[in-house]
Amino acid sequence: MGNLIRPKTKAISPATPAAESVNYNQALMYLTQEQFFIVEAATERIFPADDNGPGAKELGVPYFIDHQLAGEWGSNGREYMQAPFYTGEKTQGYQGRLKRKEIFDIALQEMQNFSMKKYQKKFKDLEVEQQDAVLKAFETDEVKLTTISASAFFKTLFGSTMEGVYADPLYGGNNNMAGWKMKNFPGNQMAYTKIIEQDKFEKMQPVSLREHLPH
Amino acid sequence: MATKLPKVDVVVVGVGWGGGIIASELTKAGLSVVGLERGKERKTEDYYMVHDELRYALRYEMFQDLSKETITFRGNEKIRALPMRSYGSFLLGDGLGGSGVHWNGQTFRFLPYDFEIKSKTIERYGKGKIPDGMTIQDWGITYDQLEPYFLKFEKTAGISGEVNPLGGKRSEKYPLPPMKISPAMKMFSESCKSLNYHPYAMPSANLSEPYTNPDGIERAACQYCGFCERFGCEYGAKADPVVTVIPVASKTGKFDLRTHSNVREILHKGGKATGVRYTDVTTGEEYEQPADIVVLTSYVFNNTRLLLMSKLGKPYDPTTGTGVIGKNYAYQVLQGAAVGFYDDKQFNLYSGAGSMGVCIDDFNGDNFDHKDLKFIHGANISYTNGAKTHTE
Ligand SMILES: Cc1cc2nc3c(=O)[nH]c(=O)nc-3n(C[C@H](O)[C@H](O)[C@H](O)COP(=O)(O)OP(=O)(O)OC[C@H]3O[C@@H](n4cnc5c(N)ncnc54)[C@H](O)[C@@H]3O)c2cc1C
Ligand code: SF4
Repeated sequence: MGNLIRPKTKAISPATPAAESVNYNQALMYLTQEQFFIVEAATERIFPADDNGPGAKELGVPYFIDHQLAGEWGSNGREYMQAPFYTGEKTQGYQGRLKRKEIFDIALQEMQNFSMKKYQKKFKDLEVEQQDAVLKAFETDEVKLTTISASAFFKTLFGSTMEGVYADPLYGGNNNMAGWKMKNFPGNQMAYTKIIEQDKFEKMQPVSLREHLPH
Repeated sequence: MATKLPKVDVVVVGVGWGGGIIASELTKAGLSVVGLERGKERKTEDYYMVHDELRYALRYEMFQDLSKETITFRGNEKIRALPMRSYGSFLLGDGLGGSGVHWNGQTFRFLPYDFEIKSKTIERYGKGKIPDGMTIQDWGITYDQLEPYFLKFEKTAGISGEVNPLGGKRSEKYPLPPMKISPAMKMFSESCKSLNYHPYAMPSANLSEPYTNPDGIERAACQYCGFCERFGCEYGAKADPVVTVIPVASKTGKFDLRTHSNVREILHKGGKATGVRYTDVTTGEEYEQPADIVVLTSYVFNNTRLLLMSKLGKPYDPTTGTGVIGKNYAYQVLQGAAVGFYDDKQFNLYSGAGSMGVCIDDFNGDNFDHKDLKFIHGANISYTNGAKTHTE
């Protein structure tokens, strides 16, 4: 049992303001700069900064998505991706041959094309209302694409935005655990036996998985 | 050519709960058992970084790697069967302990009615209640016959619980008291009582107290950590085969566990299984393991596939209704979820455990009158304090 108990760590020092610390993790592993700016603008619309706290951009969500695309998830590494490919029933799930990162390549290009055609501007330069309209057009399949499903892409983008907001900060999103703090989610605590029965809401300083390694 | 290994009494294919329990019981009875598990070894220390929702819950860390192997499926015979390319409705276990590692540990007993569903339905409502084409049948075993084994499992795993007022007769109480009661559970319970229903604490394989089981296995109590379903338990508090039955089998010296061993075929002669052929997936080498008894505990899909591929037993033919291999897969459905929002209350919902909850069986089995209803059976209605995390 002993080795499972979290080692005593120094009192968590107050989070350093993001602007002062250099985060070497924030560089691109997969996306091009142009693609990255689309992802950044789109995720910020899905999870915008407001009175509650930071939005997707400040939380590091665009980097989270880039890093995820570069890894196993982007390559559908743990999914069955071999031929033969047939169109299936809805109930048979994804039957396409494209990997997530390939879907992102196509979809981000289509978002750019759609923005240029409709507003003569790149997605990142649109007014927020216009960005919302583009996203909505994808969400509702108003954009008709031949190779991929616009709405399925929107779902993935939405899902990965939420993942980037709330996953442990070790993945590059949820910067300074701010995603958790907005929800009063305490992250990775060892035990809740003391509070599980209590009526009063227990607000705690969140803890991330980093604290599980001795530093 | 496959290397032929010396014969043993028993070979177990797949080491989850099914394989683990059988290995433990048979080695205790003195038989020599080989356990073949296609996945990797697992231990409690693996879960030091387990409170990672992305990795375990959303990226399916502990489940079968579908890039290596998957199943094909279809809703009916008119549709083309296609591979399950990514996870959707159900999750397949993999590795030592199988699905028993990342389950919740909700350990209900079946109701007596379930075992004799056909005859009891006819007895109460007449033959007309069962429509043509509904393939239900009695199980050929009754609740009373199984009761001692339910109890034995409950003692081995260390089930915390409270008697279900509408369940089958129990020869003994649960070995451990129910889990702690959260404010939300209390609200659910009180509402049920005010409606004259019969709430009871969900039977739980998350230990409510430290426990030593009849095999001498000691485990720590659940910490309500909130990362339970789809996660391994870093305390060993959640009963899983790796912390209960497998060490008991190993201690006998009669259990030879081989991980990374993927069984490809059941060998048989004259309709009787004589052993298995398997591949060591780390080297690609093939082995034949002869045994007097071959036990298939590789979960329903792999069991069915192995039997079909090995041409053993009679495949189910849906047009004639004959044969048994591949007939009637049943999965759980959790339907009709209700959500409550409160302006004046805030719950500590980040805390909880996989089988911490309250439920009622007033609408389960045949506990209510189905005379004017167009269905039989029903469902358990529950409030689970399983601490659903954020992203899902
Ligand atoms: C997320 C989740 C939550 C659940 N929660 C609950 C719950 O709360 N209560 C409940 O009662 N049930 C629950 N279940 C279901 C329950 O966990 C499973 O039904 C049960 O564990 C199955 O046990 P098993 O031994 O039959 O199969 P498994 O645990 O699936 O074990 C089969 C083993 O066989 C191995 N195998 C497969 N094919 C081969 C082969 N060819 N060669 C060698 N090895 C092979 C697999 O790798 C696996 O380890 C849950 C399941 C999941 C996925
Ligand atoms: S909730 Fe309890 S049983 Fe489940 S993983 Fe956490 S400590 Fe283990």
